[in-house]
Formats: sequence, structure tokens, C-alpha cells
Amino acid sequence: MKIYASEGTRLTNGVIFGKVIDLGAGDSPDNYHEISETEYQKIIGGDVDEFNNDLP
Amino acid sequence: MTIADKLRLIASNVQKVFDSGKKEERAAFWDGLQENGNRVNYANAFYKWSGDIFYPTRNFNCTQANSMFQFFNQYGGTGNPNFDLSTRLTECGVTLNFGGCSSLTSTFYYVRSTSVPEIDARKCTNFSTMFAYAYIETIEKIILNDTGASQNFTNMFQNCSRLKNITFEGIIGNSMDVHWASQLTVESLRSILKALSTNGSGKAITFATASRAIIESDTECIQYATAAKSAGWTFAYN
Repeated sequence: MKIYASEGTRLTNGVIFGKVIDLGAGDSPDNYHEISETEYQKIIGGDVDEFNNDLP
Repeated sequence: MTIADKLRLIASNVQKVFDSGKKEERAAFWDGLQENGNRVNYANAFYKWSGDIFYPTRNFNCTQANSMFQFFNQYGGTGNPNFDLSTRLTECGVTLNFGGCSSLTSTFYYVRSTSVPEIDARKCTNFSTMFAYAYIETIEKIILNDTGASQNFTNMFQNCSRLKNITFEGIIGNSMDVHWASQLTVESLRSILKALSTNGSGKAITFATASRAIIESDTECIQYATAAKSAGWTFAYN
């Protein structure tokens, strides 16, 4: 079963994040809730490439 | 031989003698650094080194390799963009053996290399940030243990956005996130999916959104993914 995040949000169970979650056996949609993109970016904040890894 | 001829002969050999001396000096340096092949602790050994001076003379038989190549050839973004670690090791006739390591934390953190050679990680359980921020296209192979026990893959591939090719052997026994690697080939995706443990309860594999189309259309991927989900693996597309 797949569950989908609304536009501008992500799904999370507190550990993993995704725009689409394809539930494995034993997992449940009840384990997931939506968070805003802003919240998501705050949570993963610190994911900064200080050397600008976007090199050619 | 006339004196002039002798002088010409000497002059023609100057460069050869110079190069030979340099080569010997370099070999002596590396023999010392690698303790004539006896060194096993390579933690932080090549931190911020440039690839242009990396010419090992002995096989690496590591028992400790945390941060071994951290910032290798990348520091400040000025590393040689054409450097390839796998090729350089082959040219030098040496191998990189991590078979004795229980931890490979940050071993290739921020490395810039086209590829990384086969990694025997059968004794390793801690892979956290192993390839974080690495500017790598190909990881030839990672050999995991056959049980998947006690593995920590936290941020193993964090910001590994250039990664296209990876092959796994053995078992992925814990949650793993490869969503930063949005260019993974279908062969790489198959390899990851095939390696997922048959005990996936409470575990998740996170892929890039871009990988979802491949996983849900490729016959082999579908086969492996179906088995993994039945075993309890949750798939996240991020």
C-alpha cells in the first residue's frame, strides 16, 4: 500500500522521510504523519556542503 | 670516446638519473609511511591529501580506516577532477583491503574520485557517513557480511549526489538511505534491492523520487522489491 504526501509536505514516522511511502508488511499508514517542507528542512538542517559540492 | 662524446652521454642521462633518484626517494617515503607493508592503522592517514601525490608502494591491509580518505583530493574543491583512486591503485600495483575493519566511519568522507575500488566490509558493522559528501560516480563493490547483523548505515551516502554505480554483495540488514543518489542506474538499484535482508520488519530503504519510476517498471526490481516488502521493508521515495 502506498501513501502520498500532500503538495509541499513530506511524510515521516519520525525516522524516515518521503513524498511517497510504500508500506512494507507490518507497517501502517497510522505510523506516518505529514510535516511541512520548512519543518523537513529544519530537521535535516546541517546538511550543508561547505565546499559547494555542485562541481562540474 | 672523445671527451665531447662523454659529455654528451652524461648530459643525455641527467634527466634519467634525476627521475630515478626522485622515484627512489618517493618509494622510500612510501615504504616509511606504510611501514614496509606492516602498517594496519590508517585512520585519518590521507586526510586532506591531494591525489596527485598518492603513490603507495605496498598493499593496504587495514584494521582501522575511519576517515582514512577524508577530504582526499577534494579539500577546498581544488582536487584533480580526473583523479581516479581505483586506477591509481592499479597503476601502483597495490590493493586496498578493509577486511580487518569493524568500522568504516567517514572513510571516504568528501573524497573526490571517479571511482572507489571493491571494498571487503564483511567484518564491518559501522558504515556511518562512510561516503558522505563524496564526489564519486562509481563504487565498484561493497561486500557486506552474510547475516546483516548489527549494521549501522546512518548517513552512509549523505549528499552523495554524483553516485551512479554501486554493487552490493552480502546482506543489507538495516535501514539505509540512498535518496541523495538520484542518478543510480537500474543495475545499481537491482543490486541494492537484491541485497535487502529477508528480515525487513521495522526497516526502511529510502530512494530518490527519480528512482521510483525505474524500481516500479523494471522486472527484476519489481521482483526484488516485492520480496523485500513482503519481508517487512518499507520503501520511501524522498
